Amino acid sequence: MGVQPDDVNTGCSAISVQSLNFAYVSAPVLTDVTFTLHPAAVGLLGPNGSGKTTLLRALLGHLPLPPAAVSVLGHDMALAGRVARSRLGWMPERGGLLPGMSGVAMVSYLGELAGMPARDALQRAHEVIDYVGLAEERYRPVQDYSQGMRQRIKLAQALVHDPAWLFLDEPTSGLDPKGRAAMLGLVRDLATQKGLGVIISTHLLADAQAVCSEILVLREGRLLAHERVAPAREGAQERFEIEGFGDETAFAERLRAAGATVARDGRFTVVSVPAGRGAAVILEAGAACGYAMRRMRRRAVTLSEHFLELVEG
Amino acid sequence: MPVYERGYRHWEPSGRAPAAPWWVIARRGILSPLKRRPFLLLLLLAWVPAVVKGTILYFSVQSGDLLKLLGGTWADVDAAGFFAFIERQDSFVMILLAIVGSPLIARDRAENGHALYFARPLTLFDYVAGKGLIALFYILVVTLAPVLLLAIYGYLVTSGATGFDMLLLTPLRATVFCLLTGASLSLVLLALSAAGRRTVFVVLGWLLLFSGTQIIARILSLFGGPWMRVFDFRAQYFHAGSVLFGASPRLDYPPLISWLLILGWTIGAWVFLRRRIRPVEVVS
Amino acid sequence: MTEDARAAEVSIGAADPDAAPGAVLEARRVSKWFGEVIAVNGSSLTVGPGVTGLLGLNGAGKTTLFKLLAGLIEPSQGEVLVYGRRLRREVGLFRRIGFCPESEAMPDWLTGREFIALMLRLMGTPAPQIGPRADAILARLHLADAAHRRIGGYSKGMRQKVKMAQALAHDPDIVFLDEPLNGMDPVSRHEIIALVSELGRAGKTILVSSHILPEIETMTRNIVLIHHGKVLAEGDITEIRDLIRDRPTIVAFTSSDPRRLAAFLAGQELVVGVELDDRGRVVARTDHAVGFYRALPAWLLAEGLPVEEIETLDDSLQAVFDYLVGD
Repeated sequence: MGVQPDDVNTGCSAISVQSLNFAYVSAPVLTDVTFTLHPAAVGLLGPNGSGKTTLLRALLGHLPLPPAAVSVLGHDMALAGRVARSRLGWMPERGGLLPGMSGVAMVSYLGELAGMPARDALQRAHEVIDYVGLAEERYRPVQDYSQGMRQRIKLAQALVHDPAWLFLDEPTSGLDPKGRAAMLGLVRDLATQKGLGVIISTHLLADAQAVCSEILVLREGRLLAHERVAPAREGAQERFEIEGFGDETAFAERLRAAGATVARDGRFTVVSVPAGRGAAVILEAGAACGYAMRRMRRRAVTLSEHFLELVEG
Repeated sequence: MPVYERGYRHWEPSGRAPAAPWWVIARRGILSPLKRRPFLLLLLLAWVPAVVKGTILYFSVQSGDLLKLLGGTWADVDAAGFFAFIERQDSFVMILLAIVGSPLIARDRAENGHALYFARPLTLFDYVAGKGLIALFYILVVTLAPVLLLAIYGYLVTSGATGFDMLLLTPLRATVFCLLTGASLSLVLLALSAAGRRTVFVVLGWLLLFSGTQIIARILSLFGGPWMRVFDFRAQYFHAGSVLFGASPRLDYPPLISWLLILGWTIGAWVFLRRRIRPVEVVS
Repeated sequence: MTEDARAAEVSIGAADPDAAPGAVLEARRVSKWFGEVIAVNGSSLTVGPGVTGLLGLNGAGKTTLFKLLAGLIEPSQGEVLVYGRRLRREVGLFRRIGFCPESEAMPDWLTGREFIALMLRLMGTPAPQIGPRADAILARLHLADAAHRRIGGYSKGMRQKVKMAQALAHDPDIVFLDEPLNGMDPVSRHEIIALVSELGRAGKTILVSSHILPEIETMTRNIVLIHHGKVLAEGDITEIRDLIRDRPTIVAFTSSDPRRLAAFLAGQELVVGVELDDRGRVVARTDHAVGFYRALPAWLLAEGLPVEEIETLDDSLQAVFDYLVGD
């Protein structure tokens, strides 16, 4: 289910990359990369050295680019990178702090540098710091922050000037489960409720699965796929994954007797039923042998299965 | 009765004009050291020589040549006297810049801060100009500013006896000298600051450049003759400046050599800064 | 190496008569403090063969607990038993333990192979076996190509793999993996998860910590949750979820007739609340999840209620974690 690049309708909120090639001195890093993105949560996936960071640098206009290869918000990044950057937010993975400043000073300063008047910047700084969930810590010097607070202040500085697109490099890096859930919640809110475009470069497929509606997959500098994240439905068969407790064997036998195929995959029982008969068959089997189900859902191809297929296949 | 969005809200610009990026950087950098009380005291201390010179000026007018004899160059009201004053302010310049200037770029490099700067609509020129202005500001505060005030004050207490020279020519000479050498000094300091991530090392490098080279050059000149003084970083500026002020030369070779040396390392510093400051750090 | 050979190698001391049966690792009211800071506070747990996930927030005491269980540090109070014996008294037991620390410190000047060989030698591996074993484990972790390069030049993912290789090289029975997936790319993550699951199935005892809960879920259902230095829960995720009584379990149904389904469920005693969510699903809350699940298929069939999908919303490891750790 590829997303077709539409050359015609690249509105000024879009990012469009046309046959981008880029090489450092000798080694090619990006080869013939073409895609168009409209504001959404986009996962940028790929193994180490696949060119993810280079692509983000190209989108920020930090590379010497050929004209008309990269267009962001209607600006050709080879010529008008500066103008476009006032509407872009960037959260780097490594570092990304200005030591010696308090959280709120750093965010308002970077807001001013993005072209905001000083008073607007200070007011917005407090607002986005509230949003990312930092309280009184905002008045402490940023170099004393814990990892969780660092990631939050880094997100705040990327948001202060109300960008149209956010580029996040490993936003959950170093966060514990609580911090990670909070960060993903913020990103999801921004992309789905607030209309921002977000590109998340990540090694964690679970993160991409949790927040992204589209993915870009890179390998060795080539774009392998640009797809929507959605459950894949099959034609003739419906596939369900079931998790429950009770007499597993009897349940499986009942299902087979009703014409279904049953397999085991980790914690799930995977049942393929002829299309149209749907869930009723499974419920009947469960009722007949007292098998209780916590979960009975159509099986989507998980992002991780799909990604590994693409990258290794 | 509306319920307002409690989460993320879009920015509604107030319509005020934003400041240029280099000015944002310079303003923040100039203002933030002023919040520290010890730093303010140091600034006050740097103005003590100006007050002393002002007092001597006043009394030398009142009591004539006796004080002039005692005061030496302190009492001189000609261009060379003001040049000597600037030269004496040098240790304040060194200390102030070690405090204000050393961390200017090193601190940003410590936590990959350039990634944040250059994700903004910002050019390398904005960044270097903004940071350079911070250093330049503090150089001028302890050199040019007291000279200008003293020149006006001197004109007033001597009832215009020094005439045109003190009212216009000396301030003009001081302005040209302080701006040119200040800009060069700022760039060299920024380059030094861009070389390291630890402010301590930058401070050490700066002190070595300012005082260390002077000592080394003096020792070398004992054996290798006066030309060895080319290794004295700071003396070049005053040797070059002696031409501007019509003062006696500081070193034993043509001042043009000093001008060329200064030009050389200033350009070198700019080239180094260009190579060193990048939006993304290159990680091996 | 067979189990007999191993037993001969390890000096046999008397096992603690009270040791929990079947337990490989056992901690009894273990505390550890550093100065005035307490890292682990009166924690007891038992770990059996297979993969066990160790979870907790940053600073919860995971790393300290790892080091205590592996015998790298002594508890300030309480005791740790390995196979029912005290590690400190039987140094031979250390050979059966592999430890992959979270810390990044590595001998950057050695090549990957030299490092593994050195660790094998320290573990007392006979000289002729060192080379083949080092090569085998490096190949297993797809590091064979980089084996003769210096560790200093490795990427973060490769460093993690070398750290894992040194923990596994001497074929230990008990393996501690502290954040092993940190900094790895998705392909390496997949390889390591598969390797860990495989070792678990082979009967090794593996304790692994990670912040990425979905990845823990693919490796194991068996977890230990530590918070503020105390063990909050240990055991199977689903069983732990059922023990959290104060939070009703939330079950969502996709149905072609949501209103009739909602009305029916609202009438059931096991159900404490029903609502329709913004995606048109019927969401029911129940205090007695087990009974609810058991009754469900029969109800639906008897009433002829169409149901397409059933989804329990808050029994994921993330939900269990959030409930136990609190907000």
